[in-house]
Amino acid sequence: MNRPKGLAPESLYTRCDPAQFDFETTAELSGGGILGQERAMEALQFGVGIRREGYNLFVLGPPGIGKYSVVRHYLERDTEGAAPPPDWCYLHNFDQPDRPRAVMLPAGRGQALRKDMERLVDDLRNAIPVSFETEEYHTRVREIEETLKDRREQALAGLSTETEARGLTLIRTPGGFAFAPERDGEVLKPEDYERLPDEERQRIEAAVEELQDKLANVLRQAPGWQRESRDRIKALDREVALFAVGHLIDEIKKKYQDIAAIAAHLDAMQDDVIDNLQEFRGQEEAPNPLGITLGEDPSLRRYQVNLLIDHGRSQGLPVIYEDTPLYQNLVGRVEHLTRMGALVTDFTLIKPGALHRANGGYLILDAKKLLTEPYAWEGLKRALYAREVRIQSLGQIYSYVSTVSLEPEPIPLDLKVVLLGDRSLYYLLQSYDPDFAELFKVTAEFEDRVERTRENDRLYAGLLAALARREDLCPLDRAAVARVIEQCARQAEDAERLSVHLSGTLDLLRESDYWARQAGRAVIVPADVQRALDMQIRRVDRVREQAQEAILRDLVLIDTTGARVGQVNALSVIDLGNFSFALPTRVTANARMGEGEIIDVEREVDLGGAIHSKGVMILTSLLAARYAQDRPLSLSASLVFEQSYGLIDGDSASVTEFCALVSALAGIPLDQRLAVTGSVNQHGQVQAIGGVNQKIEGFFDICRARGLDGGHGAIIPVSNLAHLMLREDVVEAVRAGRFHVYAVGTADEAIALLAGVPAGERDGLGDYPAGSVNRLAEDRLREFADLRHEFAKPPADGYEHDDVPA
Amino acid sequence: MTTSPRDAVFRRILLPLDSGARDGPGIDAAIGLAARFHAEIVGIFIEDSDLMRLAALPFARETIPLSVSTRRLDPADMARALRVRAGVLRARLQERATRARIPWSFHVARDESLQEQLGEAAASDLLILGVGGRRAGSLRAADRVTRYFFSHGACTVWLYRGLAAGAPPVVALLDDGPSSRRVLAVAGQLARHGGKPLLVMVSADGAAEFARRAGEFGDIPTDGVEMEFRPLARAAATDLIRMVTAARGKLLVIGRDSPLASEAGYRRLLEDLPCEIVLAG
Repeated sequence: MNRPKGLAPESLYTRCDPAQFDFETTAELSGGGILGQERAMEALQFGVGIRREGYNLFVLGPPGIGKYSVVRHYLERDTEGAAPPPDWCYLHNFDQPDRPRAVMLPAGRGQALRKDMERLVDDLRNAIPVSFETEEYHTRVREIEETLKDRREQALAGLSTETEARGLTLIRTPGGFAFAPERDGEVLKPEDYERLPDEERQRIEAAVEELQDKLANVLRQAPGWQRESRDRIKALDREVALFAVGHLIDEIKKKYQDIAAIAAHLDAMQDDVIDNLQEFRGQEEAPNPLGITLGEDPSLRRYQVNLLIDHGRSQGLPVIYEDTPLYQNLVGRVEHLTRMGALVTDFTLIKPGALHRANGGYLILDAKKLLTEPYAWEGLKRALYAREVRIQSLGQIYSYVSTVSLEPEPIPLDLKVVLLGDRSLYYLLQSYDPDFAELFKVTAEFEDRVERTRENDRLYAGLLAALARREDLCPLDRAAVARVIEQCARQAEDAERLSVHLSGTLDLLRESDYWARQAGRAVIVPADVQRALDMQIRRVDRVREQAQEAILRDLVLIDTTGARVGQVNALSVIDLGNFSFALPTRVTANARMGEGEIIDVEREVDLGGAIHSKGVMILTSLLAARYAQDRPLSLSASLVFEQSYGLIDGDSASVTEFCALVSALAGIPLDQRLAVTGSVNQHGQVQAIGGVNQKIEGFFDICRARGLDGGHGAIIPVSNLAHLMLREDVVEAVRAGRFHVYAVGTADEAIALLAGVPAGERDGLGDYPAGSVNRLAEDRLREFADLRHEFAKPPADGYEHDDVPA
Repeated sequence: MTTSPRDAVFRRILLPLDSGARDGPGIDAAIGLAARFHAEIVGIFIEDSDLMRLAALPFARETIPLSVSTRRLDPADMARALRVRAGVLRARLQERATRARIPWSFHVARDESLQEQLGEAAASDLLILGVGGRRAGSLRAADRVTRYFFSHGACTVWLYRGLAAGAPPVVALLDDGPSSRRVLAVAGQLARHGGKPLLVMVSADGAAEFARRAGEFGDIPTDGVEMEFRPLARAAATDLIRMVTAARGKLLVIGRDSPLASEAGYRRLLEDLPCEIVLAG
């Protein structure tokens, strides 16, 4: 039987016609928007427009498709010109220092407040000491002190006068005061005292006792006088300070009179300054025994403004992307300073999180990063539910630490969160987290491929122009654009679709630009694109080269000539992550009489995946249905992927396995110049498989290396025809008649090509034609069944075979 | 003899101390001056015999201000208290002087040796007398020491009050006494580190006498100290107090032979002038 003709070279590669473009290079193109994402854009528009609780967005699609760029671009364009949200700052809480106050100001006024407060503190540092250095102040203090002193001295002097009048003296002792009789300016000696008359001694002692009582009365009044004096000095200090401070604070209050919280803060600050005047009056730092510089006076930090969010220079609403969505990067944190070996903090060390920065606008987060950071997802949900950002460390939330820290007032939250993630993550969240559906009600799903039409080709050209402009790359001529589009179709593994995997396309453009510049061109031409593609492969195809070399050196046995019974070249794809390629693999089958079991050796040794096993079971069923409907399938067969030492999965070799098995049954040799790929169903129909282009090219590379004789080729499912975007060298070989690609719809077509004889169809009597593959296979199975039947009969000698006496 | 500010450098500073409570600032002031003039300090703790006699009286009781309570006094307790007080003051002087690298000595003077020790100390250049003291209600410390120096001593006496010690401006009073040149020299020394002019008040009747007397002092080398002469009505304490107050003087230097330096005179100055007073001799 002569082989039918293979596919025409034109059907192996669907070209993009550069003539359809009405530009010479992409430099002439403007715009270049978003390609084929209408559904996602509608969802974005809806999600951004609806201002209701829980209408946050989840943007899903495969990685590298440009979700972030599209979303960011859309949001920035949408929010352009909008009034920026307010500034937020934290101020010291004079009533509860551990609970700093959050204060909202119109955008831009936070910075002004901060500067005003810095200037105010500077002014206070100058004005207060000056006020207390005036002669008037010192005079008044001295008056008060003199009053106290006079009261004390008058009291003592009065007592002293009375004492002297009684012939006694009041003496200051090391521990206090004492009364003694005096003579000639000296205390009376004890012996002289003893010589005094009894009456005189009694008088003296009675006088001393009485004077002691009076002295006690005087001394009891002294603390009261001192307290009174202190109070008067304190009142004077307040009066002087108020005079110095009041007008400075009033000046700022007037400026911020429209913000009640600031006015209240300034009132509290004024009281605090007056209560703590010594901090302004004694500016000299105490000597530090360890010689450590303490820096800014910590006591005055409480008058500062911690400008948490400053929108003074913002244009439009904030669109924030947090690349590292740690819990504290989201909700903010309270930092600490080391001071003399201890960790200290205050409200100036409160740092904003992404939620603060995005408040009033949009926060974009990578869902996978968010979910893999401990507590970040929970923290985000808590903030969205509560509609406020509360800065709490994890230690505080979970009571890991019980040290005193700050509890800043929460800040009201009004933003939309946009999560970017892949589909699996989206469905996992939908399934396992009920909060997700509550909080992320809008789904924007990005396509990873679009239909390949002339209109989309034109739009794609615009997209390429925009990318080249954005990345400052050379423009592409229209032929290069066509070549990139063709590559996008190949990337999509579909001649009728285009991949919109922008990350890969952008890499291709950058590398094409490099090669164009290397060649001294200012415009990217198709050769540059091809060079970039070739070099991409060249950089990563060491493994492929080695694997091909092993085949070419017959270390891995692959026949590409002759014909063999029960042996077919299958095609398998090896995926290295950033590069995948295909290699031929020898599949062999053995058949003998048995009880209908087909042994999949890969499965037996746990090297076969579930889908592969499923494929083998399907072809077993196919065999039984086709050849053994009216008798037992009396076959014992085994299928092996020769020299395969890794896991095999997928059912794309089930046609190959079927052919090998039928060949083994029928005893018909199969042409080794052909390789086969495709899966088969129970009715013998061949179904589409993935990686068709790489598979054909993988076999082509081996055959070409050994020498193409015009008989080499690959058999593929007819349903894969639309996916063909083969390499140019393969297409050229086909055009030259040195290689062929056959598309088959049934397993019979495949085996006919391999065996070189028709597979055969049942005639009116239900028989396959004599000499056909199916007839031979069926006959063989019938023989097996008869033989098995014979074996099943009881022996004529009356003995069971196993019981034959020795 | 010409007396210049350089000649008036204090080489030995005598610091009498007693059981009064205000000696700490006096020690600090003495240390400051000693450091400035590279002088040594001689501390003398005067163990007052009156206190010992008081403690021996049968009815003697001490009233303690902190608790407003009384306790019985006896000689042994009093002696112990005085020893403790002397030890505290000695330690304080040692600590301050060592830190400032100033030569120092400390003595305890009892009745029997007081005269002798004071005689030796009289050779000092400067005596610092703290205000306050044993006798409650009095203005002078260690009255016996004070009286001794006012009757025997020839050195300069600083009536230390703890008011911005030695801060400028310094005011000097030149009256008719023979110590006027000494007054000017001491005032010049004290003003030299202040960075402000030395204000010299010359007591004179009329402009002609003022011009004449100011001219007499014009030849004194000032060692860089700027001097400003002003007339003062003859020996009037009231006028002096008014002028020193107006000039915001922090330290007044007058001669020991000035009529204003009598016991009654300086009591008046101490009461009405909020500044330090130095009696130059």
